[in-house]
Amino acid sequence: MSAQALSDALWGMLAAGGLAAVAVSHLAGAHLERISALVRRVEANRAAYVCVIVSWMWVGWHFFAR
Amino acid sequence: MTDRARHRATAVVGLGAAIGLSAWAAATVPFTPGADTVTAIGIGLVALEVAVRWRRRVLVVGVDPDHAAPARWWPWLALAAALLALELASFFSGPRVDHPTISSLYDSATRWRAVKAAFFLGWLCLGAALVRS
Repeated sequence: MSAQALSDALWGMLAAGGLAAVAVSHLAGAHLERISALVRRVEANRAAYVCVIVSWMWVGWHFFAR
Repeated sequence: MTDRARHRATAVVGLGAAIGLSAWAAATVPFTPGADTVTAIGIGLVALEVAVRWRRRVLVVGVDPDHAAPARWWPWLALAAALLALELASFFSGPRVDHPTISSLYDSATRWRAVKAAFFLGWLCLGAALVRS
């Protein structure tokens, strides 16, 4: 297996794992916390809230402007 | 106008503006004034909303009715750690074509304007969701 194929497979597995986790967390009676609930808990702290917002800003600047 | 109608009108106007900004962003090239401007507008709008909501921000962290049993959060941490590990391993490996990072995957995907517009719209919607959460 080439390095490129291995990298593609790993990224694909991570993406699939993320999507599966989102789907599982939305099932009734699931034991996995939803991302929205997790973000709300993190954001309960104002400093963490500012960190989340600044991270969002950095992602946008990195991908779209620079 | 009722609160509900006003809320709906605001959402429609906001979505229209976000789609317009996304179309503009899709036509820009990074490292140009146009790309800087459209990204700065998105950041500025969210920063403004954060400032407006800052004082009246009330966080309600309750139990999700769909999750009566304690929900686990560590799988998300494991996923984030795996993502970070793969990103770092790819970043310090070469050549990039064999070891793509998230940025290089994004660059490949956004050769098409529609994909770039979708990414920008998703980024704006995420920002709005974070402010309103």
